[in-house]
Amino acid sequence: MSAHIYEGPGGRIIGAIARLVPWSERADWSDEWCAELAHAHERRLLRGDAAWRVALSMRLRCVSALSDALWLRGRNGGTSMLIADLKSAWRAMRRRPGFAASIVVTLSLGIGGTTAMFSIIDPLMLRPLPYPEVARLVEVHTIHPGGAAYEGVDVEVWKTVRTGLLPRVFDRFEAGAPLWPKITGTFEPVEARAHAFTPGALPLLGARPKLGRLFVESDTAVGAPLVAVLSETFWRRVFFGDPAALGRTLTLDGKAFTVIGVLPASFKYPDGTVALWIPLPVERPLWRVNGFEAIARVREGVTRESAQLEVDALTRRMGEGAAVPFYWNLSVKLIENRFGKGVPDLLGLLAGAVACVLLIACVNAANLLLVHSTGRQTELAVRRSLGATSARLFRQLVTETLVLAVAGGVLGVFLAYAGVRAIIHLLPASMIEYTHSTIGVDGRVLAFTAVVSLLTGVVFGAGPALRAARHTRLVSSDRTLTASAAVRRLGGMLVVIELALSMMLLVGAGLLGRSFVGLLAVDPGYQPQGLAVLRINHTTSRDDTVRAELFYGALKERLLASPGITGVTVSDGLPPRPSGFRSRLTLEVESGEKRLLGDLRLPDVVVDHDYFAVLGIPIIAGRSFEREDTRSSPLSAIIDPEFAALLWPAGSPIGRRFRIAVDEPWLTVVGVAGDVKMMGPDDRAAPYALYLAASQQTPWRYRWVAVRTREDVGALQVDIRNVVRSLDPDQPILDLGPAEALFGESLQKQRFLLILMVVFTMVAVILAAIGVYGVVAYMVAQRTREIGLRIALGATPLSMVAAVLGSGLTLAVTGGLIGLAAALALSRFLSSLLFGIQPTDVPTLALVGGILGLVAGAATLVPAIRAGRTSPLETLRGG
Amino acid sequence: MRMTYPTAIVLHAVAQGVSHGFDIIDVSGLRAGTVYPILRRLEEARLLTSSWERATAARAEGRPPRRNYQITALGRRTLADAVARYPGVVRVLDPGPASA
Repeated sequence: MSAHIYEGPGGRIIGAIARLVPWSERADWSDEWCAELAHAHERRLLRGDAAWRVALSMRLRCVSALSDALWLRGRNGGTSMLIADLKSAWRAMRRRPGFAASIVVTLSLGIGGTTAMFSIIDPLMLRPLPYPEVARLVEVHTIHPGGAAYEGVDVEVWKTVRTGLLPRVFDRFEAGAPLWPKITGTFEPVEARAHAFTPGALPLLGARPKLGRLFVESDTAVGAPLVAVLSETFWRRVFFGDPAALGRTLTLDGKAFTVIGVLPASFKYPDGTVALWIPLPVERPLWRVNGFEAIARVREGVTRESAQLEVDALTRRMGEGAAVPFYWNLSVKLIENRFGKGVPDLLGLLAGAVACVLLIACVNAANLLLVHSTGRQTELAVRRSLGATSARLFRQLVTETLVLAVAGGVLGVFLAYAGVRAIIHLLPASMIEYTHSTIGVDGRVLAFTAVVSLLTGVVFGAGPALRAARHTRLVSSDRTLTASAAVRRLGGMLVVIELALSMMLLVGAGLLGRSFVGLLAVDPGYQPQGLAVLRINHTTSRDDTVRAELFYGALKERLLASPGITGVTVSDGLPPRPSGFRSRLTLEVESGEKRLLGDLRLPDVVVDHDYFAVLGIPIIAGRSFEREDTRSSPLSAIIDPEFAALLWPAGSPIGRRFRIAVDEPWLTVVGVAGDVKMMGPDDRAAPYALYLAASQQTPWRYRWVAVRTREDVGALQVDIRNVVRSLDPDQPILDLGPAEALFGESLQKQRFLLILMVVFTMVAVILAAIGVYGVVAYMVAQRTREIGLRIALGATPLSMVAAVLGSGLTLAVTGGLIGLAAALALSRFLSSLLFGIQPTDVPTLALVGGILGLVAGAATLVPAIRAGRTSPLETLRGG
Repeated sequence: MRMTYPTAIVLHAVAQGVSHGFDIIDVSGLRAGTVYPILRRLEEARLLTSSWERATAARAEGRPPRRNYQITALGRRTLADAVARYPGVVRVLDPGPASA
């Protein structure tokens, strides 16, 4: 049938769609559709339908032509070929299951592992804080005389800056203050972190309530009802996510607050630990505040630097005549990720590990595919000589690669989700709380790693395939031999890169592992075994210290009366959580000599006289605190040997006096206690300890209670809870648990880092092993004839095994040495995370080198044995 | 071939003398994407045959020649079984306006 040209509506569309129809049927198909359209068009016009309506109807019918054409294509051409290709890919996979599994595992580990890790690192470290116009948001801090910046400014200073610079420099200037009230009126009393804010602060930070409303200016008016906005987490915990919580009353330290709103879990300012936000009336805060945290937005066009100059100009002269001059010494800082600020080394290291693993995965996939596709030259040549076109062969090879890539990708997605869940489980709680963004699998990252890995697969799988498909001839020539040697060299090079990267990770994981073992072995300086601890914030009313003292006294008495309990002590802190730190202090001894504490911190604890006995801390000189240390006697202090040596390098410190700053009172050293790791096993940043007598200090309402028992600490916890409840049913109990767990808590970060590094390193080493195996197996396959000849000429099979093993180990040694050199060059990034060892620790480096050698050896063993079993007779016959 | 309900409708339509693709679509209410693949399968199974309209006749009307479908003897026997299985097929068709 000859094609008849139909130029009516839809004719061109049919012409275009016809290209999809298999060539053998195209003309008939096109003729039939054109004829039907022409006939229908004419008939509808004759019937008197509007021309535009008819034209539209004809074009709509063409949509059906498309599905008809696709059906034909599917039946006769494309799909059947695709199915054939898929079947062929499946057969190829079954023929070489090891190769297929290697590629799938490689890609899935690359995609899944790196996505999971990056999904964690990004919100913790890289992502900008999720606040509107974050580049203009600043916090104003006070600079203490030593130069350290502290969050918070004096209330009068805050008011002065606000009045002086709003709106010329700042267009918003708000205040906040943290508080830890006891909350009752819920199903059980809880202590929760609350944050008071001036009404403008939450909208400034882009807070949008999930339920109800935010507080407004009128909520801070005198006589206005007290209101609170809950965090979603707290709302779910206390009200089980019930919307009827709005309007309910919560009692915060005895004051009734009405719940007016709930903020979504994604809002985390100042951090994720805040349970509720309440209004802050600047003139009469509801709680005693020592200062305000100032958060402000600089006006458009004003930079942080110019805002700092304006603040300096305003406050400089005010400070001169002020009672506390440094209160007027302010620093304007852009708000930043508090978490990222604290641990760049840790996450930086993990980011490096992620990059290494992704690189290894890509290199591995490339290498395996390269080796595989060039190893199929004979098969391709046979198919070509049987009539397959280059395009056909290329298409089939690409399909095979894509099948593997997609399988790896799908598995990788599962791994990514499982990985993120696992890592969130491992993450220290503080890391999640200080993250402003929500942690979850990042779709963009997943897409990125998937595309990178799949592209690697396609480029390295299909590229050589294309070349092979074009040039392969059945008769082997010098060129193909040269090509396989070149591929072997390239494969070897890629494996060396993999091994070098793996070695870097092995060095990192090895050093961190040794550090961690070292940290676990550290003597805490007290006896946490058989000790239960809990924290209590006793507040019936502000400043009611007398009642608090009575409560702690009664608690101690009742606990001591319980069976099995041998000692109870109350203090302001327990290792690894001292009452507080002092840093950048100028220590002054009585002789007038001064010592600068510098960056090191001085942890201090206010303790009862029985503290040292109950915790099992030896007094190595002088005495413990005693009942004679009263408010009327000179202030006593007990210090640790290291602090003693800092103050008085020579002679006994007992009876000598010092003060920690010029405006602090003199302290008399009455004893030296054994070295206690006040900050946890790694106390390098705060190696000292200062103990003060509770009987001489103003009591604080936050207290730690340590209970020594002869019996099981776990069972004791129920008794402790009952005793506290019997004294005050409204008293929240915090952190109740064994002292060992509390001390171990300080290792959370190191444990997290170590686990991740070990997992990543294992992934890298497995991938490298796959890479080594692939290259050596290829080499053996390529050299079968040569090996057979050598054996025929008298070489022993064992010597062939040794030769192949040697070639694998050569790769390992080369990669290992390059990796070692790179690891040493980068070791300065690791040193701050190490404890007790140097980055050049020879036993660790030797151990990880040995591991790499063993793994490479094991990966080489199978092809080596295969080489040893080569039958010279068969090889020669086959050749 | 598998005799589905739409297949029976198409076969019945052709048996009723509805012999062009678009006409079958119009009388059956099925979509072109359904009707054309069915026509091809019926033809492959020798239940239908097709032929092209004489070019001169079409040219006289100023349009391209159309493709005609006719039912075969095998098609009629198969249709009898299909109608027994799907009696509703007969009611679906309204060949009146389409047989032009």
